[in-house]
Amino acid sequence: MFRRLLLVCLLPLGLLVLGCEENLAERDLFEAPFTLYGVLSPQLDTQAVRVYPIEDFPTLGTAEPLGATLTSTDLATGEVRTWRDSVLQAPNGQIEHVYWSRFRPAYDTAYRIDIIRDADGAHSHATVHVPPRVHMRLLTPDSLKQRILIETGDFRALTPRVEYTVGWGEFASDPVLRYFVNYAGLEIKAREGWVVDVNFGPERRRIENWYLADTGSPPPPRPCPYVGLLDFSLHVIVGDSVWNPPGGLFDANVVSEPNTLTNIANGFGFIGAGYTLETHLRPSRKAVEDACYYYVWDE
Amino acid sequence: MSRHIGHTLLLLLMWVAPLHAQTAQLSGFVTDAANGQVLDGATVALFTLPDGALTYGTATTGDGIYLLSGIVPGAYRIAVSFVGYETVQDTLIFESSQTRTYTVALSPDAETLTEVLVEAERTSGVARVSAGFQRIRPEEIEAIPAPDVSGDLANYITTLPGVVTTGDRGGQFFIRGGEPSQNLVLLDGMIVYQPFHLLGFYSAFPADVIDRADFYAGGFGTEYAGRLSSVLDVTLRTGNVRRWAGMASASPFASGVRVEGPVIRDQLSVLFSARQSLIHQTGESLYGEALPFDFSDLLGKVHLSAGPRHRFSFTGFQTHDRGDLLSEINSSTPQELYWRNRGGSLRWLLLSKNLPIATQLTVSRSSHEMTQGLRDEPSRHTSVNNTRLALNATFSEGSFFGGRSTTRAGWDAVLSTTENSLDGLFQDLALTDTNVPAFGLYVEPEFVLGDGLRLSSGLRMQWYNVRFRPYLEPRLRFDWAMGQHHLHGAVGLYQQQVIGLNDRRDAASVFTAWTGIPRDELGLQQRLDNQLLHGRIGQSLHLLLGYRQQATNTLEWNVEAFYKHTANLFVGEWTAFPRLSTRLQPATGRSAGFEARVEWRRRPLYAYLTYGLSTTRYAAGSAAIPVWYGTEQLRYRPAHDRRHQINAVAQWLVHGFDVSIRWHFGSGLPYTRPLAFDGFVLIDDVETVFRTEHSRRVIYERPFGSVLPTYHRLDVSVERVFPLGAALLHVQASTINVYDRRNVFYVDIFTLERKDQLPFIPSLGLKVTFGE
Repeated sequence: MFRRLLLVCLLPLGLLVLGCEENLAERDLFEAPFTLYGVLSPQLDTQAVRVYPIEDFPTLGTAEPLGATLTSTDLATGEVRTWRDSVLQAPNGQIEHVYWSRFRPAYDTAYRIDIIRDADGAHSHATVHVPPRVHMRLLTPDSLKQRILIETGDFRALTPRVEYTVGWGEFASDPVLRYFVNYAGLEIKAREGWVVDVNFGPERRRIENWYLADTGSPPPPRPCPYVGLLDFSLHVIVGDSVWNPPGGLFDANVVSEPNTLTNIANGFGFIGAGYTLETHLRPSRKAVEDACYYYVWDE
Repeated sequence: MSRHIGHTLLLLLMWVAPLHAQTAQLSGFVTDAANGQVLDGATVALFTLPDGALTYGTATTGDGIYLLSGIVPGAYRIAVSFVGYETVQDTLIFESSQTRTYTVALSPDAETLTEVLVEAERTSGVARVSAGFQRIRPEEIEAIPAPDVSGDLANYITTLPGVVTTGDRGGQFFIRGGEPSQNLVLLDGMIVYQPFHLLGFYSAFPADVIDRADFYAGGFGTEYAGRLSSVLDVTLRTGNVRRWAGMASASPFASGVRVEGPVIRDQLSVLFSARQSLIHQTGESLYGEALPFDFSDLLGKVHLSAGPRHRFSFTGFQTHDRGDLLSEINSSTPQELYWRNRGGSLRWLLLSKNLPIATQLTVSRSSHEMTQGLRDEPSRHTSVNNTRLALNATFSEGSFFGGRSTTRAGWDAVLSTTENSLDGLFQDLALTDTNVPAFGLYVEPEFVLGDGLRLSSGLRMQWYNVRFRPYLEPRLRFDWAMGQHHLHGAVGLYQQQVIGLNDRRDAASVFTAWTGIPRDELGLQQRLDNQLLHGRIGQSLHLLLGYRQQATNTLEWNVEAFYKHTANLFVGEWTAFPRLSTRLQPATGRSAGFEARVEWRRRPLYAYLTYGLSTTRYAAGSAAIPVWYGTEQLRYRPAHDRRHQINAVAQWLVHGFDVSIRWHFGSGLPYTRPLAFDGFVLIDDVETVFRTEHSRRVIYERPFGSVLPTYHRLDVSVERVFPLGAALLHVQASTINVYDRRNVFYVDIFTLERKDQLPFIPSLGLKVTFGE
């Protein structure tokens, strides 16, 4: 009886032993050859794209040529440029390839970036559009909420930030300090372009507090005004309309997901196009004084 | 003096016991005369004289206490019996309003002692489960083959169907879908945070110092609070009050020593146990593989019987673990883990002189700290300290709700202090040091309805500093005995404020940062990422229903289904960004399953088979999930969702040899499969990428979308005892992983390297015992 019981127990066990070597399931390997990152900018005289081969296993990379050809094509003129490979080595030993070309892209022009693996012709590509020249203006110069319009054309306003330059007292004298307020993700698409609503009035207290903290000055007895506004400007990236991170924010944890922000066909990564724009703006005397700054500009 | 203190405690309870003006009461302890250990489940019966009719009866609790009240004055014959012991009989005469204490020491009956394993009145056994509750005894632990000559509670728990582990290393237990940080582990009333050693066969609880371990896989009663998933309430046994005894053991895995004995015979005893791992020193030379698992545990208990109504005990313990789960895979970035537990508790068990109440006062303090990183400069440190004051009272039958009802009630106050130093952010959270006070009151009457329905309906009011209003935690348990058939079930609501945060993306993620849930002072609209935890106290609902049959004296089986829903979990967010830079996201969890157990007890064979079927799903929600997956929530199987689990255990006594066999099978655990590797550059500005920071990236499939290979392993041990003068020599030969199965421990998702669990490992252990 016991022997039979033992046999019944051991038989399935034996079968399991026979089949006990079990490996991890095979992966479906990617056919896409490359991941590309870069920005084409008319403000730069050299353009660069970082190129990562999409690999089945992690490697430290190699300083040998990547074995790929990267070209850019001006879709307006048909001009084709072949970019040069270069190598970067990170402190951890990782070797990476950056392709570059010395030229300055034209505004409001589309370019196609192609990279072809020499060995088998595997191909990734992207089409980018360098945005047109745009400008910005104040729509509500008398208001404590300064509405700024960036116009016109097909573009994406990215990471706007407001710069305040302030000084002490009615002459805005030394020390003169600059403060930035970030409006990334708060830009609004409008018919003519993009709009940024700046909390010009409410931000005055924050600016003054920062100023007093930085200078170690005690607050004067009277509540307002005791800081003069020397300059007020908006900085923004004017980008390709597809350069559009979720929520307008560049959160590395979010956009690092391969399909979250990409314009690469048969590959991953993102190639943007654009330039930075900084415009000095002048709210009205009424708005400046209503916000409790000294008005220091000439009428 | 003690009478005044007892009354003061009762006033603190603000309970007024009902008057038993005309009737008498009887209470006492029942112990083993051979060594002074308490006897759980001993029967105490009163027969009226002279007709001999059975009039009153009860059974002792786990602390060996019995309480009888409402006794009509007169003469009675008392009979105290327990299977395997000689019955004690005596004549007692009760006068009106008299309270008597009658403590009994039963002598083992040499003729029946060997039949203890087959007795029907036992309170433990793998199939003796009632609504998720199981009492574990040392002799059951010893039935599990282990690489060491002494058994360990951890090794036994892994044979239970609802328990999923990370394998033979890591010391993480997932019980019915819950996370390890949701398990409440108590040692003589102390809260213990990480009692399981890095090497999965060991815990802080060697079998030979345990009296019992009450294990609730869910649906636990109102006496317990502060955790969402399970309870493991371990009670150390007391030292031998009659003679000195001890043990010394050694094996390639660990060495141990135990000493116990009477300081004052029958009154004051001590028990001391120490264990130190050796495998971190022997692994390389004996098995050709570095096994960097250094651990130790020290346990001590002093017990005083101060008269017939008072028992005092002091328990102290310390454990340490040091090891490197990633040593072979990622030697360039050492991630040594270290943790330490310390604690002490003082317990006073009192049988009231005037009232039919047994009370237990516990004062305890325990601490836990864990570090990760370089040995001399760990990058992460977390610690939690607990001070606990608890009073539990058991009222005899009929004291409150009349009829055949007993009531348990009490309160506890816990102050938990957490400190974290986490090298900046941990999971994108800036964890601050917290002080988390908690206070709870509970009352849980148990009604006996009809012939066999036992119904415990309790309510706990729990105050946390998250809000002023108390959290109500209603709980209900029942066991309906119909002859050999038992229908049992439970339902309950649970909260947890002190939580453990873990980046549990693979099995090697052991480091757990402890913190308290802060008050939600900012309001929902102002919750930013680093205020994710505010006001989100963990909550869980348990539902259990089971059936048990004692088919014969030797065969018992049990099936149980469970459902658990948990809100306010915090789980690691998967991104392709490099290691250790992920964030936490809120999630809800749902677990459901079915467990079956069959147990056979007939000498020379003791065997059981367990099967667990379960499914656990998490639904995580964060702002990024709609962007990544196009759905509001990411639903997935977490890394511990093992669908099928089988354990077969047999202990066979043959020709003087004690042969133990265990076979364990588990279906594959989910993991996130890397698909490819490339790089990542954040393109957020107009500048040349020559200067932009970059990092390597892993392209994953959908989180936890793949399954690791199945796990199975056979362990065998053979033990024989030889007389050695006045001592006994135990020789044990054992093998772990007999057929050398390559079981995956985990796959490094950054390097695709595979780390396996222990291979075939033979071991020889020696143990010398005396005085036992």
